[in-house]
Amino acid sequence: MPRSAQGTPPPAELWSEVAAAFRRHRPQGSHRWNFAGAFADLERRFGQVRPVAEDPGPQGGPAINASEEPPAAGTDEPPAAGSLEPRPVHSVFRRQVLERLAPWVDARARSVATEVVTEALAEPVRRLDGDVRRLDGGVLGLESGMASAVEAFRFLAARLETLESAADRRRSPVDAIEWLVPPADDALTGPLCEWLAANHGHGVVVHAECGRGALVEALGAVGVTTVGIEPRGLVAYEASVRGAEVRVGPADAAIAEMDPGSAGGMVLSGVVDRVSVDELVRLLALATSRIQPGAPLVVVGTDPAAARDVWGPVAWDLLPGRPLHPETWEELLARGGYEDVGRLEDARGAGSAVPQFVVKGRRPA
Amino acid sequence: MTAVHQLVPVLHAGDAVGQHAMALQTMLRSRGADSEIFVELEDPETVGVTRPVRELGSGGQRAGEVLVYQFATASDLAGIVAARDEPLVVNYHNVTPPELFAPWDNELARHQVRARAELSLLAGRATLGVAVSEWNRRDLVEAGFGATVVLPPIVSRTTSVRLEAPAAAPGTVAREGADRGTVAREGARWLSVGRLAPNKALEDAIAGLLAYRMRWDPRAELLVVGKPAVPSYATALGSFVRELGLGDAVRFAGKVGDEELARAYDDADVLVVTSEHEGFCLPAVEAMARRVPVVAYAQGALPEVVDGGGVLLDVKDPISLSDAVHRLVSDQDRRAEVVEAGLARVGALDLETAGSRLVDLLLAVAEGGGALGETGVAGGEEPRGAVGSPDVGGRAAGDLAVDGVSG
Repeated sequence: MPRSAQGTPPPAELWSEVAAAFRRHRPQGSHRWNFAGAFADLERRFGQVRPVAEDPGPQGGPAINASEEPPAAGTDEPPAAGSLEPRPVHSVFRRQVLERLAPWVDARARSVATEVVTEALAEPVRRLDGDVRRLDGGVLGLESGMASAVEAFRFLAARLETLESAADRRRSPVDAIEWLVPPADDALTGPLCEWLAANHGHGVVVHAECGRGALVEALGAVGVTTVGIEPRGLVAYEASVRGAEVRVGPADAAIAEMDPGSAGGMVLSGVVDRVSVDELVRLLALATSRIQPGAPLVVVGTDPAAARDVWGPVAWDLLPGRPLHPETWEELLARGGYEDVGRLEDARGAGSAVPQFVVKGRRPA
Repeated sequence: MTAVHQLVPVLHAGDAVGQHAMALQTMLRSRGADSEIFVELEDPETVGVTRPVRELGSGGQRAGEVLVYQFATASDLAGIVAARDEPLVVNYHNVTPPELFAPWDNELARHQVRARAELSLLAGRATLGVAVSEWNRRDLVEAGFGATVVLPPIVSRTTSVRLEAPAAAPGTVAREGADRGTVAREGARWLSVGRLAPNKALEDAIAGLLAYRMRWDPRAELLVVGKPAVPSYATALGSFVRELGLGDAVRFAGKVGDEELARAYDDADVLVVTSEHEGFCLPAVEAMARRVPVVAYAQGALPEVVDGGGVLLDVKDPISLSDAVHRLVSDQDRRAEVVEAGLARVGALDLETAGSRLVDLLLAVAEGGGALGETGVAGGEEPRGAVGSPDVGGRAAGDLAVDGVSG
């Protein structure tokens, strides 16, 4: 992990997100979002309410049966709990929440009915002031109980999201593969900035992957609106600290979100060294579709021979792709219909830790 | 004959309560008292030194007989003890608040609720409550205990490997490439010691390490020593570390033996304690004794246990934590100052005599309680006998204030 921004504290939002990332692992959410707590609270307030098949109901009161058909409109009977299920839901969700919640919703309906009757019989109810206060308390209590149940729903949704996310991660044999190789260094920033400033088209220039944002920052300094894309969160954060506008995420996904023909130029680096040839071809086609006709595409690649020495053995073994030779990029751009394809002779990466090259081309107008 | 019998739900040889109970038994016997340890559940490792609680007998108050309940968790023993007639001393080691467990394990949270209820049950029955810190004593008072006293747990500096001073002087422990404490050295080693449980808030130590790597030292590492006590929490910590890209920087060593733990201390540049709730925090004492500076959030009993012997942070914040550690790693004078203050603090805690003072108390109870007034016992709300106060060993007055930090 690179050292960065010494003396400049990261924003508080970063730590809030870090803390939230850990809280998402809680299997039972927060204390308030606890199913057991929510339903225990309901039961404490209103006593146990169960379907009639299990319990005929205390004191001869009308028991609630979740399997009953909804009553006809206009009757005095409250709607049956089954009306809570207008569409298919997950079985666990139905079993753990809806079926338990149904009696309470029904009880809520009863309370509302009671409230209506109470209003209609205002005068008699005033004479029964003490009873009214008790009923009011019950309604308020039910509302509180419903709030607890809603918290339980929210918790369930958060858990499903976490599970889905976990399932996605399990499908990936190697997480965060971009960390296996470092982001491109800044040695080419000067000549690249100079060339792009003179050759970019209308619209924003995109740099994927922008690393710590040196090129984005340099282009911005000469008045070229530039956006970086960087998949490594902490590296992207460092870029943002130095003032670069940067999107965090994979290059292909971020480019795909752009409007066709909207980019005033595009620089591809980093990602072009490590993805498979098939993915490279797709990425090239995607980038081409997003570049404005007449605007440049620049590929910053790593010298293949040098990469073998610089990359660690794990990166060499696990990364699906290898750096291509500059001649290969020239061939790919030419086959892709680019014009003025060639290398920037002034940008061979002198002073760079890893020798790099720059191949540029211009999308036909 | 005087008899002081202890009750422990389960006697584990490796945990602090188990070691405390066994050391207390040895000391009581050396003072001529009859002393057995009765358990609810037998541990195969300690079955030779315990007896099942059914062998305690039918009860009935006998002269010179005292029961000591080592209280750290909920147990059926509480009901058994409450129903008996002997004078009772509750030696309280802390109950983690249930709300800290609730997001991770409902069963454990309910267990803690029950433990608190049992503490209240015993309050009206106990002759004396003994807490290992002033922080813990507040729980006893809140539960309704009348007479209370604070005594640290029984740990001997002369017999504990963990509390021995290391052979090398501070700042000279050699390691590959650099010495501990040299200015601007990269690869600082953070250490955390304690069970992997929610009250330890290890996620805050991990966040602090992330901040430290971003701001000061991209090669810094964290070693976490401790048994996973709450599986869902331990699993979450592992996932959290991977999500932050710290898989290579944070190592979970699990439970280790005394010798290995001593080595972990000796290899560490700093002990980081980020707990939300600590009844005493023996690792902080161990670190100070082994010349490892302590940086801790000022929570639970830590202010009174560390008390000038380390760096206490009043605000929980990864940046403050990382900067406090950075100063200790990069400023050798500051580091030496904190290490010396830590050693002085360990001396002031006077752990060697804690056992004999507890035995004095228990024998006084056995003799009818007449001598309790001479042993630092507090009645009602008056706080006496706190860790660090003169009647249990005095205080190391290290003035170590740094920016935004009370030392």
